[in-house]
Amino acid sequence: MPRPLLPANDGINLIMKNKAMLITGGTTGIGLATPKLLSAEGAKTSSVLSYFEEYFTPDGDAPLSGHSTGQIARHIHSLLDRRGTCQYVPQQPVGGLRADVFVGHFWSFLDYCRHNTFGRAIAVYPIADSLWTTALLKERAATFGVPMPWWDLPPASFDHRATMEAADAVIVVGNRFTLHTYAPEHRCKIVLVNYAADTRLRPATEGLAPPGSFCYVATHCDLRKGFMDALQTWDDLGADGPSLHVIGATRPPWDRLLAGCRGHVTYHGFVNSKEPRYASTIADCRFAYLPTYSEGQVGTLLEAIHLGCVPITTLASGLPEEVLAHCIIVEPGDIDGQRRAIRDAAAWSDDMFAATRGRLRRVAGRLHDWARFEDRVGSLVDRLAGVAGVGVNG
Amino acid sequence: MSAFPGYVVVDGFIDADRADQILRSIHAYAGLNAPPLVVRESGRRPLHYRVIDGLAIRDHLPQLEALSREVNGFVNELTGARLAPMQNPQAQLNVNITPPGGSYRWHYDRNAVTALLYLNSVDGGCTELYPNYRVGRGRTSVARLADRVLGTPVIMRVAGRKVSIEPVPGRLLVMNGQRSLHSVTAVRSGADRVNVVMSFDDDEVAARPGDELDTYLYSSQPVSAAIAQFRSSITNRKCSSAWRTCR
Repeated sequence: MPRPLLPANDGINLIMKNKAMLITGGTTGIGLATPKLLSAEGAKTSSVLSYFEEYFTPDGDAPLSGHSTGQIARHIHSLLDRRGTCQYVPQQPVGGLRADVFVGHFWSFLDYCRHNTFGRAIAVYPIADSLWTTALLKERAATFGVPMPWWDLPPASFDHRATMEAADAVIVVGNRFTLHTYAPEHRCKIVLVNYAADTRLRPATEGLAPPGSFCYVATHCDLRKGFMDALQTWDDLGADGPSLHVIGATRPPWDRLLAGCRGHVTYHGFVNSKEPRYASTIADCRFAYLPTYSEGQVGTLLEAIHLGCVPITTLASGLPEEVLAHCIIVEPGDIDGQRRAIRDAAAWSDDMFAATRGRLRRVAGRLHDWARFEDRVGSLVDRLAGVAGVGVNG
Repeated sequence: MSAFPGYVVVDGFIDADRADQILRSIHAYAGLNAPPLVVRESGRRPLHYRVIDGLAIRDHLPQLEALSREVNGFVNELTGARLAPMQNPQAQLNVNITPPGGSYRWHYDRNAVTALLYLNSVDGGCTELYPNYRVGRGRTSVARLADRVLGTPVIMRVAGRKVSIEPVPGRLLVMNGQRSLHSVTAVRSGADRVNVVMSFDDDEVAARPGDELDTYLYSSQPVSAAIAQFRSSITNRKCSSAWRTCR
């Protein structure tokens, strides 16, 4: 059973000694050092996974299990469980744990590493570099005169650099744009992965939604998700222009700004993705518009693709380049450009839309696949645990 | 470039700390990604190494791009030519990782000037080269015949002046690789030999991405017999004006 946190000094000293040993001892060639805790070849891998219990619990249906965070946790747990014993622990750090491999959401990753004994540690960052994002949003918030979305950022006590340094590997969910938001010195340990939409969503149909129908879907409609861009873009499209269906929570001042938008906008409020009307509202639109500023990889766009939409989004969406090739790309903050893109999309013929959607589904279906996700993360775990060929000596 | 003697060795081009820092980044990347192992038969000194190509470096080891810019400035000063990284993004900047038992076959480069920065010391793994050894440009059938004749061990012993350079952390070797026949001797034991390879060429030389040579050098996929058997010269690409000045 996990114990409460050890006194800081005990844990830190112990682990720092262990870390030093890992760095300096037993290296053969360029391959990774063989950590003392790791299982022998062929043996099972013991692991610890730390994530958010609101999103994932191994033996129950967490309230937010349909969100990308919950989906990612579920599949990481599954792949770790198949490799041996996997102990699931909450975000609030506990001490006294020992395992070959620790996989943790980045928020409390460092505390777990400091207070426990792990052979290897993998941090999961389902977002762009948090320092990069914070700097960008501060500037945008000042420009627009809106508050920073603090609920969307790591806690103030979070130490990004130390977390990156402590990790043996960092799983970043996103694309090359996402990767390049990270500091150059950290990119050598980053492994990019794609994930997939919640497979429990109803399957996509071949039907065509009405032309000129768009949706904007986010958990929180706010600064980071490009909501100001969306409002400004729609403001000048006119009440008889293309229709925008907005799904997501709005906090002040976003509710007021939304109410003041002169475009053709229908606000549905926050809708849990488990509710049927979540899928039906999206499926009734041709295009999913999300001019986001910073992401890991946008789960709502994966869902929208699954439900039959073509995304209009930014490189920051984190969708892989092969998928973006079949989307409409806009620049964050370029309102004129976004308005042109919306008008152009609204004028697409049925054939053009259907052909693009078909290509998009094929590529997305191939790249965004949970089996593929588990293979990629699983081989990383195996490599670090010494089960698969390590380093380059093999 | 006219005064450039064919090769130059600079010890301490980067200090030991920086070499170690770069080496650690490469360790981290290689440990997570297992760069492709390339094994191509070529007589007694085959091609047997792992390579991190320029595309992977651009994404995961961008500090090497800064290093390449520093070396580029140095090379231009040294040669008096205006050289730039080869336009082929996969080939312009590489990390070669040669495991114990591995080596790099005798060859000429397809670019005018190559700089090798060594990051560690190993047993074996010396760069051997015959400076300014090539006759002709390797473009015509006569020149290719000359490459083959000059590439035979007996002729190399008789006609050439072999130089051997040991890998030492921070040591930079700059050579006119298009004219100097070179290879890497087998790494005998211990650690993998790790070095950064920076390929510079005349600005005017066009990129040729997708070349079969790239498949040969950067993957374990099969290639045509023609390229696999092309013993003495890896490429017969047109020489750049920088090289002509160099002659």
